[in-house]
Amino acid sequence: MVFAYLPFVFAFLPLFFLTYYAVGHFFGTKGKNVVLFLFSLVFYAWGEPIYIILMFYSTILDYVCGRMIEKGTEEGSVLKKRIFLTISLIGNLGLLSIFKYLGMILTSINSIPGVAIPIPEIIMPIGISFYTFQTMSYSIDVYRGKVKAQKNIINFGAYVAMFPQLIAGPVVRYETVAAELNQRKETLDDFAAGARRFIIGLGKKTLIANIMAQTADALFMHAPSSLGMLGSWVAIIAYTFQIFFDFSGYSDMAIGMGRMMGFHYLENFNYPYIARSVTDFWRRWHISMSTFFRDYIYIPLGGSRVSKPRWLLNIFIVWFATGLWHGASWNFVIWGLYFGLLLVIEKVFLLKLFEHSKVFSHILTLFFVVFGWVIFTQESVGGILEYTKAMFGAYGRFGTGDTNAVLLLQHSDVNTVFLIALAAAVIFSTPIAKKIKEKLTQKGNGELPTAAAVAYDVAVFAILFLCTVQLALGAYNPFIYFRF
Amino acid sequence: MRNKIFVGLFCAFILLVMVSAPLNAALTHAGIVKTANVGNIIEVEKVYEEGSFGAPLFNAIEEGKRDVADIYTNYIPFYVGITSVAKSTEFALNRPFAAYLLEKGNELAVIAPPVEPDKPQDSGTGDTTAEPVPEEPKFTPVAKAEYLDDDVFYRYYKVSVQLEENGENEEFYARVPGKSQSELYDKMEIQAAKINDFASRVPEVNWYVFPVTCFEDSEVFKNLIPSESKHNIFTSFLDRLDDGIQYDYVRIDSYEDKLNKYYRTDHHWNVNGYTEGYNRIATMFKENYPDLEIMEPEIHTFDNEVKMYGSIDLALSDYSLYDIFAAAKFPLASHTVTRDSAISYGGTNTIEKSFFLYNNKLQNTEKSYNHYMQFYRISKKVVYPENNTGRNLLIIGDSYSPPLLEALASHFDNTYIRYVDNNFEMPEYKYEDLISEYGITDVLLLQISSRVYCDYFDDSLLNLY
Repeated sequence: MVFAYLPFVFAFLPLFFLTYYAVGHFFGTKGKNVVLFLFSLVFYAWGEPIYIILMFYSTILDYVCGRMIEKGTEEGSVLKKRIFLTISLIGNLGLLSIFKYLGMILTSINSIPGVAIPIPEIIMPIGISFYTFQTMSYSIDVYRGKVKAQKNIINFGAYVAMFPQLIAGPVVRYETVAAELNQRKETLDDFAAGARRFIIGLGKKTLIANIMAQTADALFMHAPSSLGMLGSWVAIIAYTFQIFFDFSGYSDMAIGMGRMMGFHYLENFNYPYIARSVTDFWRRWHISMSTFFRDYIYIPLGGSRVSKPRWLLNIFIVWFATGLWHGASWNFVIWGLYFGLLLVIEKVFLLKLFEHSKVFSHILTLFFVVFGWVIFTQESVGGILEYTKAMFGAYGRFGTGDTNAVLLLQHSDVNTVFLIALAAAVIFSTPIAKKIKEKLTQKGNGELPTAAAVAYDVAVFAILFLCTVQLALGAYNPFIYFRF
Repeated sequence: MRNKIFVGLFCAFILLVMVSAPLNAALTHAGIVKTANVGNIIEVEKVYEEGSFGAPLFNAIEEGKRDVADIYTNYIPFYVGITSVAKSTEFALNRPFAAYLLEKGNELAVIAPPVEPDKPQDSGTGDTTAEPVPEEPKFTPVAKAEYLDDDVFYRYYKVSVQLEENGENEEFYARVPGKSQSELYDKMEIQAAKINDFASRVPEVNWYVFPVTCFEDSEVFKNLIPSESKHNIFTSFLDRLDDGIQYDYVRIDSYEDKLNKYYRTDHHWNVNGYTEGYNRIATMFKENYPDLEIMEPEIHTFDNEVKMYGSIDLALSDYSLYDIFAAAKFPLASHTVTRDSAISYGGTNTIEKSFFLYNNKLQNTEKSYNHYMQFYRISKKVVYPENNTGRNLLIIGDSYSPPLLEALASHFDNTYIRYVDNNFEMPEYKYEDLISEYGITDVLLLQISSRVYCDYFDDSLLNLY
């Protein structure tokens, strides 16, 4: 199931919260966790029922490993700790390797002349990259003694399967929610703030990302030579906003729903497109993932406190892994290494240059990021080169295909609604709204003045209404025979 | 206080929809309330193959999911109204920018690929030696097209025009195949060769090709939206048909023709269009069978009361335009019709029953009810037992054929109809076998033009030979 889906918003979510609060009233946090766990399983099974087995596997594996690692700590047995940590890592990475990377590995091997290993058709389980990372971080943190092992398997299951962040993050580390898993209290203020955040996230996803996606998807279907400069830039700009508002919208919804049930997840995005360097961008983009790689790979490898060649190697290892995490295809690896290279260049000299001009640094960073999305979206090196050529005029302003780029834009839903969504995307990529809210709050002695508060809530309800309309339109699919 | 009000309103809204949708569905199914139906289909996301692990269970789960999604879509209060208003608003918002892009795009458009000179648009055979017809000065109507939307196969435009005939302003929708001109041109060349090849394999039968013209095939459309025109491809196709294959098509030489012969909100031909179609096809038959008498149908307008919201209304979820449905009644001798149970566009009545219902104002009045599709039934075989012509006809048709079938069949002893439409599971047969098995003397290809000239849906000549 996904969040931007009418049955989720109007059936699953209210039913969940009714059950959650009713059971919680009588059975406290443990009862709530049971409800959370069971509903999360239903949520997960909605997408692919059979893969619920993987969820159980991951839950049981890391629950047992966590307990055994802690036992090892209590017994002073480093060997025991290491054995169970290794089992956890192999178990999780093995799961990822089979379900996410096996196809890519075999395809790569098959490119060797004379090799033709049959590639099994494996559908990647939804959210596997997130929950395997979460459970691994748990085992590692228990090993490091940062957190206590969870004794209640239902509580642990609720953490692993927790539906708000199950399919698109953020990567919630166990230490973030450990205390709240055992004991949490929901407040009306938290619920209201969570609901507002959920609606804003839904708006980002439905009213901006989906509209950008329509255009980007439609344009990407054409060859770069047909898109020309105009089409290729519009497509990649639309994609740039699509990926941000999609991802951050999901994070907002996750954080909002978490808060509605008393969890406080960490922020995952902090206006990445205002970054003034690639280093800054990665401090603002998908923060939970970048910090995961920093804390669990980069620092254990020695970070920057090693020799220069080793430091460079560490950076490229981390960015190789980052790229691979984003998708089982070599273009993602290239994308990761591209950012690794940019970060090295920045650290060597570019950051110093950036200090001289904020505008220049911002524009150049944005260009690097946007070009990164070209690598991200093109599946082959040839595709990346072709697209780059189109962006820089090799196929003229309007392309060289049958249909000129202006008409392609029209056929790809570049229209007034798109332009409105684009304007909203530009505005909400910056902290303008946040700053206005902060200023008004300062004026109101820590609270929004009544008129502003009412206006804000009216706007939030308007977003909810528009999202409902947009989702209703999205589900509109009159019987196909009329089309023939 | 602010948070209390917010949470109260938020929960009230969500819970209201949560409860009202299934309640509405239950009451609708019980016949207590009526929910507007626009034929919105929620399909199962996945089908597990029979025999695969847990298939019965997983398929049951998928159907349950589909039912939940159906309730929380089609039975949400005011669903049809919401989508309709939203779409109209969206079109209104998009209008200025869409007009700008269309104009700019057409200025830049190169009508590709280059095509051979148009042949004169007369009925005839594949003979290419006809003299060109000199162009007459034409009235230039004030017309503009507005791009609205697209789907997998088509792009939709709204056309506004001031008519030459009476100076009145009219609006209608145009639905245009979305594939590029060069792709369609390539497909057209293959398709023309296939038809010629098929005809040459069975030379003993008379071959008739009747692509039901669409607006984009006309020269009028070419002047309106050059970049979307299929005129050159259509005429090039006719050019390529071999001698011995007779062809004809309905003319759209003006906006008046378009409005007179086709629905403004549906992609099909209307009563005037298909009666002209009948006339032209029967005239082709008559060239081979001079004794054949062409019938004059009687046109029933049902007091102009049957509003039809056509397929394009439905596709766009915009009901601002509609058509008035009318039907033709041919003076037919007694005959028997065998229905095709495998294929149904929804029509279940006999034509006599349809006329009875409509004449007595008993027809379905749902907006989603497509009168064109429902009025006529799909037939598999039509027999005129009193005919003794020694002729048997095979019609390879689609949704454009039903209004004409029984009328066309009246000129033959037995008529066999095979529908080509990838909406339905296509039966396994070979046309060549049918021709020999049923003693076919005449074969008529009667389908939407794009299916005839370029196999637009990749189903046109399925199992043809």
